[in-house]
Parts: sequence; structure tokens; C-alpha cells
Amino acid sequence: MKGKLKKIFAGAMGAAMICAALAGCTGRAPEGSEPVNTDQLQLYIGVYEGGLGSDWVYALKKDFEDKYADVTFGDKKGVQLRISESKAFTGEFGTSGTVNMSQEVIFAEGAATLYCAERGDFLDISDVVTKPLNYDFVRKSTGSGESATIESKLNQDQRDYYSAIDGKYYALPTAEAYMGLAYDIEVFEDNNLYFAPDGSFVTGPDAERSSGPDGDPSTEWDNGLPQTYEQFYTLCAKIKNDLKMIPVMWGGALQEMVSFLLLSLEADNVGAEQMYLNYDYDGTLEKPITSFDGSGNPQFGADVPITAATGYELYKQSGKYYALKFIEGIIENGYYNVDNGTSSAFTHQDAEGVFVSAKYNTNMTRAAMLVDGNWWQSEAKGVFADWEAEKGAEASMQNRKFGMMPFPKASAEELGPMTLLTYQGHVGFINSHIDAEKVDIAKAFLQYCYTEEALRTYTVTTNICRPVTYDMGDAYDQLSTHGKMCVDLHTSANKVSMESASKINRNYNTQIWYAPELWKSTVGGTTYTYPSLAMINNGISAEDYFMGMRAYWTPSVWSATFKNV
Amino acid sequence: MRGIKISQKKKKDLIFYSLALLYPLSQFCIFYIGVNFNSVLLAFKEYETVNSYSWVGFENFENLFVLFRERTMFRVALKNSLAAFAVGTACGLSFGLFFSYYIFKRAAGYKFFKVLLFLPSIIPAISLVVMFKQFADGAMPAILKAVGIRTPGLLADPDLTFGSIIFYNVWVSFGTGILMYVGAMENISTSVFEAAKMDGASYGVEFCRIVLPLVWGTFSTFLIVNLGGLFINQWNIYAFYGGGAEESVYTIGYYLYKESVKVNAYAGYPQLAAFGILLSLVTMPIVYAVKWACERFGPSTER
Amino acid sequence: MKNRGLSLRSPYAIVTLCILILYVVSLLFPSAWGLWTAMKSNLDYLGDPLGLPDTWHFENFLTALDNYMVQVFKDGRTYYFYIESMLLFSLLYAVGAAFFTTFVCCLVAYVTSRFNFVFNKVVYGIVIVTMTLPIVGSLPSEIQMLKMLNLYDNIVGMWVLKSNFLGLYYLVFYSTFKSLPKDYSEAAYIDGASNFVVFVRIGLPLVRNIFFTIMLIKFIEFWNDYTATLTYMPSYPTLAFGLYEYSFSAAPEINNTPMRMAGCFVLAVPILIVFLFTHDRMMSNLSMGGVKE
Repeated sequence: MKGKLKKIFAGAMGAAMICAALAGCTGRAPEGSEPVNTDQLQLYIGVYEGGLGSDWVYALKKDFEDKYADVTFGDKKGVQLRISESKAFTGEFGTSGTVNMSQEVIFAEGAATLYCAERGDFLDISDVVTKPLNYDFVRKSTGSGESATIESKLNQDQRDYYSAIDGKYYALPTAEAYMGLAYDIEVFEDNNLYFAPDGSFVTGPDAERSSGPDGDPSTEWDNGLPQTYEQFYTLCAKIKNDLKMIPVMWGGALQEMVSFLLLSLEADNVGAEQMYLNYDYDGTLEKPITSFDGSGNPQFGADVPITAATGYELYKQSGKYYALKFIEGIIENGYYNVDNGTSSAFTHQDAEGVFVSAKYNTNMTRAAMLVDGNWWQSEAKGVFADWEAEKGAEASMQNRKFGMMPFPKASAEELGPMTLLTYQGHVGFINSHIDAEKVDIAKAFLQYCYTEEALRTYTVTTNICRPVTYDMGDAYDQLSTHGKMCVDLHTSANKVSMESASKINRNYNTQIWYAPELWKSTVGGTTYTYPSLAMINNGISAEDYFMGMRAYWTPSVWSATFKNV
Repeated sequence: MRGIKISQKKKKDLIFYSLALLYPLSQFCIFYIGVNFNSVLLAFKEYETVNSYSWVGFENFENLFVLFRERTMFRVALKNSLAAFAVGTACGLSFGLFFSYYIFKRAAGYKFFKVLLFLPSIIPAISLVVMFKQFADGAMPAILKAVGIRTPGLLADPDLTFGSIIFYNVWVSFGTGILMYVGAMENISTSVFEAAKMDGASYGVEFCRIVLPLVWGTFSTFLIVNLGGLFINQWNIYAFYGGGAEESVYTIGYYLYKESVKVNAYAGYPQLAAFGILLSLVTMPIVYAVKWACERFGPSTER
Repeated sequence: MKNRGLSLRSPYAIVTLCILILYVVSLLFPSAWGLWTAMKSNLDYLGDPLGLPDTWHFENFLTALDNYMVQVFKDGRTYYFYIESMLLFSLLYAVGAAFFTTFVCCLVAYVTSRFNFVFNKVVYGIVIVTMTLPIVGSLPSEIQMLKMLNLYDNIVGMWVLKSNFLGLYYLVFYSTFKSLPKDYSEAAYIDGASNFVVFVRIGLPLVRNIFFTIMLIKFIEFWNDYTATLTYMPSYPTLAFGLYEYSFSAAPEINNTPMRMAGCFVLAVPILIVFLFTHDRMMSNLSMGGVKE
């Protein structure tokens, strides 16, 4: 019996080994193709394996290595960066934290930042943040060059958040990621989809354009884009009816993107300070919507103080209503990809692929706008590359013209700079389990990443920004149109982050930031998770959905859910 | 004399019995009781900060009852869990049994069917779900359109979503059951069948009179295990939707699972632990009752 | 034994056959879709997600194999594992864990069904209670325990962790032993055989089929289990874990549906071979041995 069993598995193993032999081992080259230089000191850099990738670290590699080429570290001279990407650099860093990780400087995405810092996985980097950028951690001296501190490039909310654990800095923000509306500039240019100052469509590429949603004609990059919801719908109608294109597309399989878009719209509507209430639960909610009159106009009540215990009051926030209203207009009029906007067979990556490909593949219906994060191009890298191979350089990611659209406003009185809601958890830090003799060089590298020069390199490589203050200078011209627009928004927009050190946010983080948790609404005894689905499938109006969110979050439910906050 | 002999045998039995259980029970004490004891205690605690909880008595249970009353989710999830259990178990067990009998009888194409029925157990769930989504929301609308029916898809149509998910679960679940059933059927003595054949028993009669009683043990075991997992089985909802499913497709098991695997879930653990204890208190008597009923009323084996 | 007397004239057989055919069609269609999608280019797939490939990219499977790579962080060093090592870890983990868990279930079921002690009820009770009790958040303490016993991050540790008698298969063995006649063992006892000998020579062979069936089921379960690496043995990436990493990879060359499908099918091949090899042998074994009257 045993013998038979052995034979069976020997057979199976043999078969499997043949498969393995066929495979060979020519897999992706880890840490690049460069061999380890044993004469040099190796500094291991870890980057989350996501769309943004590690190209930007490779772009910084040579300059940084050159900077320390003649410095001796024990019996080694010079430093070699070893860069690797892994899915492990996220959340709580697996079951063991960073203790087993060889990477000394790590750039994570979706990290449970404060939790990990408190648990002791992140090294105290207060000196990196507060010493001037021309201080050299390896040579222990202050040189020439940039004398600003990294701290001076952070805003107050960021300072509070990143130093929330015993007043020390343990991490730094790395990527300004937000959900928005990407748009195909070529579609807009070729079809005169920009608005003229009088509210009609422009007649040609050189015709004068309106001042755009920020109401400022001097910021050319947004001129001619729809200023109000109303203009936006006019635009959509033209795209749908005249051009037979899809005005707004999203991946039906991932409705949460629409929910995240709603959060972004809400932030733009109420502004940074009011939006931040949703994360720090400390302040006063202004102009809450208490009810609707007979003709569906919102009625506003007196200001309400907000604490973690009374967080349910935030579901009266007017921005939530206007965000829902925006989506309602799109859905009611079929200004979205009706065929697959709810299909679980149509992923957000498929949507990105179609958004890029429909220009060339006439079987696909082209879309003018895409609901996606500002990192979407990095995710669609493969598709861009495929088309570049087929159509040449004009089809490359660098040369195709896409942009991130600043949101139209609910009414013409609200024109002004956009408010950007940025994601949490994109952080860089030093692994606290680093060898003592490598701490200085690790600090030097992390610091180097935040010099003006390196920040520009980052943006040129990834076409998105770091959420810190810096000036692109001439490097701006090297960017794709998408990258330029990210920088324009970065410079002009007010920013609000999902990051807050409030106890409720630390203990119940997922319920505070993850969009599917934030738009639950009970209407007529049924609870909906996604406004988009409720509107498409059940015809729920923005008004009913808004009131339903208050029905869902009653005071007693709130206090039974968020305990000890 | 006789009495002593028996007790000596009994003593030997006891020694063997204890030795045999030594490892399994120590393993259980360490890796179940030792590991989970604290998780059960969590039901009476509340989260403070990293790795620290404090005692709060029955507060988690009280909060749970507030949520039971006010949140529609628990009702929906309960209904879905029960529906999935009822339909899933009824279809899974009955079809499983018919298919097994067919294979056991080595009827036309039985080898082919056996491999095919097992295929879903082999293909990794990650790709199986993708295939099913494409099938349900990609191919089906196209196919139905050809015959004049317009639908956004089996999963995309909110009236069909949950039904489609149960279908998926049944659809992929036959492999294990069939192996077990066929295994049990193979244990039936050939002479029983020969005797039945001589009596002129038909396919159906043979199935009901001979096979069913003899695989009843396996059948009721499956039933009891499915019932035990009534509130633990999440019916693959997580595989379909990750942490962001619509409430209308929630099952209790899905809720428990997604709440416990999300990043930084620690503050929510106490309430989940309390919920788990309540669920167990409800399920356990039912499981015992069904087990009793299966033994009492099930078809008897006439050996 | 070849013919068990089932003719297709029986209406039951015909109905079953029809349902089976329907089932097979419903299964083959999506599987075929998956298979041909695996041989599409991504642009082809985006343009037409359902149809046959424009050109058949058989090399997708090789690309998939090439991209099976897992990083392991251990003692402050990074190791890279490719498909051969993952295959070895998968086999060690799945075969070992499947054997031990099946054996333990069988042993406990044997003694609790064959000997009359009050404690049997306790064991049975444990199985039922643990089956109904959802446990949340016990992972950290589980890992702590494994570390304390020096069983964390090694394959033997996984064998120990998995070798419990809880759940379905204890009950299956239990009911099997209960339903089997005691004649043989009683005869052996009269011949003076010890309990151990009776278990090994008579008890185990009696349930041989069930044993291998359960072991096969368990083997496949462990083979497809990517969480073991993720949570308990981070230094021993299995193929299932490799696929998990692969499926969520952001590398542009595999970050699309056709390549993900290709990756899945590549992994399904070895297990399909194991199944095709073993299921027939198991079934042909069945009429041998002393089980039948």
C-alpha cells in the first residue's frame, strides 16, 4: 500500500519536475541586473510593487551613489543601492512586521502607518525631517545647497499626523494620490469640447476659452473645462449625442472607484477644513443640510459641533449631497458606460485599457472621461507599451494627451481653486530593524528623496507629485500632459488628506477612509453600499440617498460601532 | 475468572486509547484552546491601543443587540446565510448523490464525468471566479441578447446576483462530495447488489433501498458539517467582491471574515468575538438536534 | 465488476445523464473561455473579451512560468524563489500536511468509535463545538505559539499545525468505522492480537479507500492554500502563494486578464496530473482486500 502511494507521488513529482525544467529560471531579474559590488556598502531599498513602481528610485540611484562614492564605511568604500519591489510593503507588513525584511528604506502603499510606528517597526527619523536638507548625515557636516528642512515642505496637518506618536517623526508622505476624472485631451481638442467665455462651445482650437472651474483665466491649463455641473452635463450630452462616445466611463467590477470619486467631489465642494472633519472629528460642521423643501431644495440648519462621539452629524454635510447630485445627473441621463458600468466582467483595468485603446481600435466605443486615480497611467503601462509597439512613438504614454479634470462646481458662485482629497498610507520610512552602522546612510537617502532635485525627478518619472511643497522649475516641460496637469493641480489646489491621528481614525481606520464603508444608506428598509448601483439599479434619487445615510447612521448605531473613541 | 479477564482487556484498551489520543489531544489543547482562548475572552474586552485591551463585561453584547435592532445588515445576512445553506445543501447533496451513484454504477461516460466534476476543485479559486464573472456578466448578456433578452448580466442584475452566487457555490462544490460518496458506495458489498438484481430491483429502487441507507452516514455527516458552518461559511462572497460587497449579498460568514481580515482590524475584534459566541450558541443545539434526528429517522442499514 | 448493471434504459439514468451533460457544458464553456483567453494578447482581449484569439499566443504560458518569482525576507536578507523551489515546498507541505491530518482524524475516529469510553462523547462534542464557533483574530496568538514551540516558519511546523482531528473528516471516519462490522477485529483479538496490531492490520485497511480519498481531498486543499506561506511559513513560498503574488503583480507584462489566466492554468496542470494518476488507481483498488463479505 505504502509502496503504491510512493509510486503515485513519485510519478506526479516527476511530471511536475518536467514542467519545472521547461520553465527554466529566467524570471524577472530581481534588484535589477546589476551584480552586488562587494567593495561597496549595500543599502537595500524596498518599494511597494504597484503601478507607480520603482523607476523613480533607479532615476535617483546614480546621483546618490556618486555623492558618497569616496566615503568609507568600515572596510567598504562607496554605497550601492539595491532596489526591490514587493507586495509585502503594505498594511501591517505581514504577520511579522518589518523584522525579517532586509530592506532598510521602504516606500509603502496602504500602510497602517501609525499602528506600525507605534508597534516599533519604523525608525525615529525626526532629525531627517527637522535638520536642513544640506546637513549630511554621513559626513556629519552641513554643506552648501538647499537649506530648507523637510518639515518646512509639509503642511500643518501632515506635521501633526506624522509626529503623532510621542511627538517624533516616523514616516514621510510619498505620493499625492487622489481619485478623479481623467480626460482624453485629444477628444476635447479634436471636437471643440471646450467652453467659450459665453458658455457656448468653442468654435476652433484657437478660440478663446472660459476661465475654467477655478474662475481664473490666468491659469490656462483648466480654461475651457466645464465650470458648473450644468455645463458638465451639457458637455456630456454633446459627447453622447453628437460624438456617440461615452462621456464618463468606469470599471463596472469596482464600484468603489465611483464612491471614492464622490469623496473627492465632496472635498472639492466643502473645502479642505470642512472635509477634514471626516477624518479628525474635531471642529464645527457648517451649514448642515437638515431637510429638503417641496421642490427638492436643501434647507440648511445651524452649525453643529463635531466630536468622535457625534460623528454621525457629518452625514448632514452638504458636500455629500452635492457629490451625490453630480453622479445622479450622470446616471439619470445615461452619460456613463451603460453597457458595462455595472458588469463584474469589466474591471477598472479593462476600463483603463479601453480608454487608451479606443483611439486605435474602432471596435471599442471611445470614452472622453474615466473615473480613476491620478496613478491610472502607471497601471495601464502595459497597454501603452503595446500600442507604442504597434503605432510608434505617438502612441506612447509620454506622448498621448490625457489630463486630470478639476471638478466642475455645483453652482457658478463657487468657482475657485480645487480642493484635492489625497489618499492615506503612501509613506516612506526607515526599517527600525536596520543595522546600526547603516542608519546614517539610510537617513541620508531618505533625506535625499525630499530635495528639490529628487522631488522633480520623482515627478518626471512617475508623472504624479509628492504631497510636499516643491517647485518643478524647468523639469515641468519634460512631463506628459497628464503629469503637467497633476503638477498644476498640485500647485494651485487646496489639499486635504485622509490622514489623521484622531483616536477614532487610528482604531477604526477602514471604516473612516474606505469609500464603500462611507456611503451606506438605508432607503425604504434596504441598505445600499454604492450610490452608483442604487441609482442605476433602483432609481434612488440623490436626495433620498442622502437622507438614507442619516437613517443608517443613527446616534445609537454610531456609539455601538465606534467604542472608546 | 471471567470478570478479571474483561477488566484486563479493558485496561489494555484504556492504555491504547490514551496513547492514541495523546498527540491529537495535546495538539488540540495547544493549537486550539491555547491559541483561541484569548480570542473568546476578547468578547468581554475593548481595544485600547496596540496590543492592549481592557475588560468591559457584557458591553459588546449590549452593543450588538443595538445593532441587531437598527441595522438591516444582520437581517439580510441571516436571510442570505439561511437561503444559501438551504439551497446549497439541498442541491449540493442531492445532485452530488445522484451523480455519485451514476459514476459508481459506471454508466456511460462515468470516467469523463468524474474528472470534470472534480475540475473546479483543481482550478485555483482566483481564476475560477474570474471565469465565472466573465461567463455571467460577459458571455450571458451576449448570448441572451441573441435570443432577444436584454440583461446586464447574471451578477449585474440585482435580482439575480445572490442567486448566481449560490449557483456558483453549488457549481464548484461537487468534487469532494462525489469522492466521498463514491468511496462510501464502493464499500457496499457486491453481494447486496447481486441479491437485489436477482430480485429484479430497478435502478431507482436499488438506489433508494440499498444505496441511500448505506451512504446515509456520509450524507448526514455532510449535512451536519454544512449546518455547523451555517454562519462561518461565507459562500465565496469575499472572492467575488473583496471587502466591498453590496449589503444585499452579505452572509454572516462574509461579514465576520471581511471584518477580521481588514487592515488594522483590532478595535473591531471584541465585538466580532462576541458575535461569534452568540452564533455558536445558536448553532450548536441545532446541530445536535439534526444529528439526533438523522440517527433516529434516517433509513436504517439492514446488514 | 466492470458492469454494475446500469443500462441507459432506466429513466433515472437518463435524467442524471442529462443533468450531467448540462453541467459539463456549463463548466466547459467558461473553462474553454479561460483557456483561450490565456492565449490572447491583452489588446485582443480588450477589443473582444469573449471571442477566440486573433492570433494564438502559446508563449503566454512560458511568459507566465518565467514570471513566477517570489521574494522572501529572512534574517535581514532577501531570497528569490522560482518555480522549482515553490513546487518542492508545495509538495512537501501538501503531502505531509494531508497525510498527518488524515491519519490523526482516522486514528481518533477509530479509537472513539471502537472503544466504549465516556470520553468519546467529549471528543465528539469538541468536534461539534469547534465546527460551529467562528474564531476571530486568533492569528497573532497562533503565530506566537508556533514561535514559542519553534515551529514557526518551517514545514514540519505546518504539519503539526494542520494535524488536528477537527471537522468533517473526523466525522466521516467516525461514521465509517461505526458502520463497519466488527467481526474481523474480534477474530483477531481471539487470536491474541494487540490493539495496535488490530488497528494497523485490520482497522486501517478497512478504511483504506476513504483514507486515500480524504488524503487526496486534503492534498488538493493544501496545494491550493496560499495563506500558509502568507501567514505561517514566509520563507517557504508554495506554488499557490506564487500564483497569489503573480495574480496581484503590477508588472506590466503580466498585469492583465489573459496573462493572469495563463498563470492559473499553468498551476492547474500539475494537480490535474496528480488527480488523473491517482483517482483511477484508488478506484481500481477498491474491490481488493478483506472488506467485502
